[in-house]
Amino acid sequence: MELQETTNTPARPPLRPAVSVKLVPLERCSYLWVFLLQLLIVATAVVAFSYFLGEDEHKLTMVYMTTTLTPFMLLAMGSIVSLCPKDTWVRLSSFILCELIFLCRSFIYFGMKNYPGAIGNLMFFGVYYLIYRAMEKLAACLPAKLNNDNESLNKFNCQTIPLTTTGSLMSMLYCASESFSCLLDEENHNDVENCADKINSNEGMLWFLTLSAFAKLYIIPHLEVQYSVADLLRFDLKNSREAVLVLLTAVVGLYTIFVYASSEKLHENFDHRTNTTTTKVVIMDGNETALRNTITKIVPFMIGLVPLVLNLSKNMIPRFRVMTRTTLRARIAPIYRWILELVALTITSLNVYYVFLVYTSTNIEQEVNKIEKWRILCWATNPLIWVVVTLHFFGTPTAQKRKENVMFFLFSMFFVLQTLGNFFQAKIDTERGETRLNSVFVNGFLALMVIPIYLMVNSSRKMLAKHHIDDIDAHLQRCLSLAISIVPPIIFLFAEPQSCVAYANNYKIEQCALLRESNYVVGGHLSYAFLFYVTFGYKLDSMTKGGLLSLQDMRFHTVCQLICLIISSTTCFIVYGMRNSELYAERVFNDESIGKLDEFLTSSSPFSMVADCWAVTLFTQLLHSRRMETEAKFHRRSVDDQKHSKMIHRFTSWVDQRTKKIIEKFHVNDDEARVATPIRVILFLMSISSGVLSLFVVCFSSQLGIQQIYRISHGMGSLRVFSVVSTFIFLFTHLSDTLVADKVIFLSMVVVFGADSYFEYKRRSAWEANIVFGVLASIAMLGILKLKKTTMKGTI
Amino acid sequence: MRREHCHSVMVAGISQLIPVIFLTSEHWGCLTRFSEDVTENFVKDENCRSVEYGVNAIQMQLAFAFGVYATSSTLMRGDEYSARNITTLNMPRRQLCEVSILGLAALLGILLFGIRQEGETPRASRVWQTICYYAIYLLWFFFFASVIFTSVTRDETNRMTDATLEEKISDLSGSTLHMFGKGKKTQFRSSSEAGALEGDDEKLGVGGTMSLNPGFM
Repeated sequence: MELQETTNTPARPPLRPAVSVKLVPLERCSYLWVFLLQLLIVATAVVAFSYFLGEDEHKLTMVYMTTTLTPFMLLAMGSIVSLCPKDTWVRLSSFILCELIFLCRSFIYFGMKNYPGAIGNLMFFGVYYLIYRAMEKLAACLPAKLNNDNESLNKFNCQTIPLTTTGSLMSMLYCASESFSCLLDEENHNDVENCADKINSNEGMLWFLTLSAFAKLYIIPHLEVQYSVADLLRFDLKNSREAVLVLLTAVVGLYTIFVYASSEKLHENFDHRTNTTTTKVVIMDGNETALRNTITKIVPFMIGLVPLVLNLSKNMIPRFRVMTRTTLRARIAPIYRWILELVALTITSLNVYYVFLVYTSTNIEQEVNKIEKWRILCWATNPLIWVVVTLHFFGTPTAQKRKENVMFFLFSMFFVLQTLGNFFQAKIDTERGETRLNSVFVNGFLALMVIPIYLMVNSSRKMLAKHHIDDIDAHLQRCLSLAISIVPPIIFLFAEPQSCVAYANNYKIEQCALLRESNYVVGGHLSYAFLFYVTFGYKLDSMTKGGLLSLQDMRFHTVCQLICLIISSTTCFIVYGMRNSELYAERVFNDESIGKLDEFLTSSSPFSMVADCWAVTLFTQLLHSRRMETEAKFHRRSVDDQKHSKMIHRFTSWVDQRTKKIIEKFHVNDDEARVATPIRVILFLMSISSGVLSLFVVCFSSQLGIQQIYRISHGMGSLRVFSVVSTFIFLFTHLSDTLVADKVIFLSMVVVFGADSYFEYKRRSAWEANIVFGVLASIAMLGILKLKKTTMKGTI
Repeated sequence: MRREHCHSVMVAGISQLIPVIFLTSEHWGCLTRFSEDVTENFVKDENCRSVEYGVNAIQMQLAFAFGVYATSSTLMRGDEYSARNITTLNMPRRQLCEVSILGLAALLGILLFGIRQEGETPRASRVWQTICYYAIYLLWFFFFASVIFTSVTRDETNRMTDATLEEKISDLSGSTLHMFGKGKKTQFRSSSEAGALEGDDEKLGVGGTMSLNPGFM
């Protein structure tokens, strides 16, 4: 008893000694990383110096290789200085090697009689010394900046530096491999100058990625305040220098993406497949190459401006900071509103110019081509204007909306101007007349559709305004984050086909149709997703991952939306995967038939599919929101007869009840570790798809066409991975029981490898290797099934 | 635990499927376009080989990485591969090798993906691409072999430790044994069954039973 009483007495918490975090000694690890990074600098030096030793025909390749590797070298240098602030010799040796490379580059350009290039590199030789000194200073004062807090220093040294360096290196490697791919191409083997624009554009992107890494290592840790999305929403930055810096970086980033996406070869060889001749087509002539060269050279210049801004006074334009920010909550900063308005006005001006151009032109081939180029350019801005108008409309949900209405008017003007332009173009462009007339009807319909869209977003805006200020602010922050993440891809998708269209003087504009239409589909998908999220995102908070996967949070509208989202996303990714084809361009160039696949991809069907899916998604959500609002009124007013007055609400209510009853049958109980059966059925079908398909081809190969066999037998490698991922999901989303389906999937995988070996045997290839791989994969699969059993012993 | 793992696997799996669909469609698009020139059955494919290598180099690594993630709760090794451990080299050599293997495979995959192009490629670059492609398979094979070997060794060590502990306990006096659950035979499990043991302990904790604490006996 005494013991119990003692235990019931609240115990005094023991005094804990203060926990001191030790600084992780970096000597051992940093030497390895520094060695690897120095290896990168040495590799660049070897490539640069080999210019003087190599044969004349390979010299230009060496120059391009050095150009591509230089940003890697600078990234390595930046990481080394950050990693070893106390090791002077390591830093100095790397720095001297880098300076030698710049000197070498200067000599190379001098030898090539490219005097601006030589002077530029020589200047960078001096500027780099200043950058190096700045890096040293910043790295040395970091401990003081972090208040000598060992935990923060450890985090910076052991996480921030390696993750930043590795992440940047991976992205840069992808960019560089595109340049290497062009240099390695047989077509350009003796004419590497053909890759000049691609290499320069990729170099711009490489510099930007290096700048981002430098910003993470040297700028962000030294900022006076670490900013959150809420600060960015209000553009509430510490001083006007930081405000300018953020804006400049955003502009540089978007410009770099534009240049990177719109790179082109200088000329292209198109093979004629029937009479085996090759036609060399000049894509950019002398003037266009010079202009393009200037455009690409602006990128490093703009990137160079970013560190220069850091040397300016902190409050250089005090009024700018006051004007651009807001101190109020639940609204976006004025600077964003100005940018959005400017973009909308620019897009409208482009459309006005298109209409003016088409109205004043004559039926001359060159003018017709010019008009078509303008039309494509204007129409491609469509996804961007959706994003701009939506964000602007929801930017200040609690305030008056005069400007927002004007913006919506500009949005409708976009379609009206397109209708007019297409109508006039149909008259002068006889070749594309029918297509343009179709566009007149489509654009006219879309211009009318702006009215219901306005009503929808307006009602949603009103509903949002009724929420608590914290909820509105949180929603706007999420919208801004989403906008920041989708605008760069939209710019990329917009810019990629534009260069193909703009240089279409010696080839047909239709050669760019595949890329243009595919990118337009994906851009549209992104902008509609943004519209949906901004309009209804604040109502999706109640949904949880667990609730959706166990079908507990599922309603009729959710089911519709999920189905539409799956269809729309899958269409987008399939279309995006198939968007690049030199064969397609060749066929169009030679007036050959383009095949059913390309016919489908260049038609309006994929876009219609995506747009229809999003229309259904928005419509079902709107209906649900309206019905919920009415039902909320019943509760508020304590109405006895809770019946909807509108027929549509009565109908959706009935459908919702029915759906709920059906879904309830598939509910997953809390004591079961699995996802709902309908989801698993889809996963099962996806898992066995490659097995079934390969078995089908093996069994019925005599009845299938040559082309079908070719496609399936060679495409099985990629499809197999799709099934493998589905299999993993299927196996590990049911951890309550072992199922027969698991064994069926295992058999399906065995069939796939068996069929693949059969195909290889038929092709007289090394089928034995496939058998060995299949056996290994089967053993691995058995191991995974065993692992699943082990996992099932864990707690629910 | 298991329920949460199911849901995490589902979400991660869907995010893996998206790039896989994009990559598969790229390869199938190339095959469909070139299939129109094919005139006989079961011919070798030279036009989409580069695309296939580039696409599969990324795809299969996504699949393998997802496989490792899906089985991570069983292997119980997720926490060992933290950025800090890798940077400070604060991990056994074998695991460092595993990380290096993964890094190298990822680099090769990105390189192959970047240089892919449709149409026939020169022999020299085709040879390099083939070597890099199979090197990725080989690297992942070494990785899996190492992971399995480490798991087996660890289970073996745990089993031996358990056996030694049981031996020691059996040597204890009756009164000491009584403290460990009134003479009831204590079950010792391997580390792979630790999850289940934890679950049991949690259940005991919920009921407020304090029999596990010898001080209250």
